[in-house]
Amino acid sequence: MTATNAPAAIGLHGLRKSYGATEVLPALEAELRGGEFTVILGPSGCGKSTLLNCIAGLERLSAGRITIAGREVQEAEPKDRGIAMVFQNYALYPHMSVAGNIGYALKVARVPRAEREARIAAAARIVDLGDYLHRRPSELSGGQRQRVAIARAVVREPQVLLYDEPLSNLDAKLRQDMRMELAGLHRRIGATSVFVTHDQVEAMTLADRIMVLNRGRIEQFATPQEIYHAPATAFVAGFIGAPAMTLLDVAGEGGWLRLSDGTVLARHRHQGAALLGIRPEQVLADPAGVPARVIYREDLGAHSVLTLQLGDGSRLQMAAGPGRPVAASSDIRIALPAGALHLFDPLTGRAFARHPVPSDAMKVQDDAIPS
Amino acid sequence: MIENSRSIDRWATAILLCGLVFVLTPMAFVIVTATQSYEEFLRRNFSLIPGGHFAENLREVWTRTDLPRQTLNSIIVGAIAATGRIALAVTTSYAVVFFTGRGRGLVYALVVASIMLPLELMIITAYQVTANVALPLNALANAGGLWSALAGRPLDLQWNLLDSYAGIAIPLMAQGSCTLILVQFFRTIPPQLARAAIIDGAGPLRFLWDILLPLSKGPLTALGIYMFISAWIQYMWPLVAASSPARTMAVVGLARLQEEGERIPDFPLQMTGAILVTLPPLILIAVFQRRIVRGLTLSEK
Ligand SMILES: Nc1ncnc2c1ncn2[C@@H]1O[C@H](COP(=O)(O)OP(=O)(O)OP(=O)(O)O)[C@@H](O)[C@H]1O
Ligand SMILES: [Mg+2]
Repeated sequence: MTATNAPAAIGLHGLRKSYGATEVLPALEAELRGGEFTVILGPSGCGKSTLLNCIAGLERLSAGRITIAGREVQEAEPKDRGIAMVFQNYALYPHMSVAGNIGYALKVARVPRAEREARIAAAARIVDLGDYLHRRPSELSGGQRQRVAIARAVVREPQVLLYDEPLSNLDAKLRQDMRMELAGLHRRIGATSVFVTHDQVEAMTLADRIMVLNRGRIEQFATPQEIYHAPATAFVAGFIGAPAMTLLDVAGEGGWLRLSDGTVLARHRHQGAALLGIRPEQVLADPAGVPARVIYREDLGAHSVLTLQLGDGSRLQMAAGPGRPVAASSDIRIALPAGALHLFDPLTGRAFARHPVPSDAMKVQDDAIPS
Repeated sequence: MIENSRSIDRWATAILLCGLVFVLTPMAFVIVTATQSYEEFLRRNFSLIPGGHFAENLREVWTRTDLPRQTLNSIIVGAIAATGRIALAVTTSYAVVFFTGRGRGLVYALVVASIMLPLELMIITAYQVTANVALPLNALANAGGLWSALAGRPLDLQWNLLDSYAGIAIPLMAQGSCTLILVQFFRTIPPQLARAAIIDGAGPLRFLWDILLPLSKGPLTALGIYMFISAWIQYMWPLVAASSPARTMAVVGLARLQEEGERIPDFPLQMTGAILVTLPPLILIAVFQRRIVRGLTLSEK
């Protein structure tokens, strides 16, 4: 049951999809490499499912081409595209047994009974469902149901596996287990996988590459490391990370970045207006730094997240280690290390200068916050 | 809270009992009268004292009247009408809910509008069309003398369905309430199921047959029984459409028993006939009772 097909690359060429006058996907251009695990990440309503349905053939394109393994498929029936799909709410056939669900595609394709049963058993083994073949979906837990859905996809030995938020109906613990299993499954069967989610943890842990989608446009398509450390746009910066990067309106002049009220924030060569992004965990406490007032504090156990107010009223988030607690509405001083700054064009949102992945900027100082 | 709900219980019981008396009293008269002989009935008029002549009355209904034959007619017409209505409703609802064709909203609106047009309202037109099914075709072809110009004389096809099972049953199918209910049920079926079936390679008919129909078994059974009964109790249309005793339906036949002779009607005989005619739908409901209740809630576990 391991990869019988060579991994298939997916090409999206000028892919456009609109419903009436609303354009959901305006001219998408991307190449999903064969055998890779691609995660499509974006906020609700940005067109992730629409894109996946277009690849699956459940939606007709308004324009453009889709290739799978070099073959143009935009006119092909879903069953002829070499794809299989796992849906968010499992979409199991309630009146069929687990075996019936897994084997339905084979039955439709008139695969002989003996071969069908062997393949059902093999697929059930892959997802550890061997003992449940005769149960109805209603007699299974959520996690088991999603396994059936995965087995139903795998049994067809697809070149491409499509997942539409398959884990979002599961509780947090189960989600983590299923993440591991999906990663293992991907290694074993080696099919090209496209996984839609709005959960960045899933994206960061599962993806070879993440496609960040915003209003149907690709903001960035890169490895999780790049997405995290070198966001290409302010949108990506504000979307990735928990808590996400803070974005501040600043102006650069004479080697300094200043807030609108003139407060000097950090050293930087940039001239003119910019959006300054900084990750909360990279904000440092510094007795000689910028004054800020703690207006809100969330203690998460391992660390706490402070919301700070700066001189001009803008807000900044800072992650602090489990040191001495900082009371809300106390005053502290902070520093923004030069290596941790991301600057974006305030009009287009594009990053001004790419930063190399910093090696030591991730360090968080635990106990330097004055109380 | 507990006292409260107890007093509610008592009230509910009282109301139900009143309703029961209201419904059952006529039934009691029917049953008691059916056990009396004609002479007993003449002597005592309507009374609630049961007699011992039910078997005798039944034998008489069975041998002297057309009711057994007419009951069979009702079963046949009811089955045809119910099957036809379900088949039409399934296909219409399937198209309305699962397909995005142009004009499906309009089709649905028209079907629902037909609920407001009972057959009784269109009975003359229905009679004309049943008397000659080709009538609309003739009218269309002859519009503006078109057919005469082509063929030399007006088109005049004839196909009479009066006094046949099809002629009685088919006009009873032309009513959209089934579709209305089934559309509601189909809308509760997750659309993802259809998408999963498409990915699995099932075409539209395969999906209908393998997935949609098995999932709708409960509601379809319930609907089928309602439709059977609603055809069973039709009076006006079967009265008009069937003229020979051999095609008369049971309810019409039952009413005709009253017209026989000029003496005081043989009520014991009629009531026995009424019991006979009520029996088939009653048995149907008894057998499928649980499915009907489950179908009413429109859910499949
Ligand atoms: N059939 C449709 N008709 C009109 N608009 C639609 C249709 N389907 C989707 N849309 C619109 O397209 C946009 C993208 O929808 P899509 O389902 O792809 O979002 P998504 O990114 O998957 O969101 P979510 O995370 O909530 O699932 C939405 O704004 C939605 O309103
Ligand atoms: Mg979606």
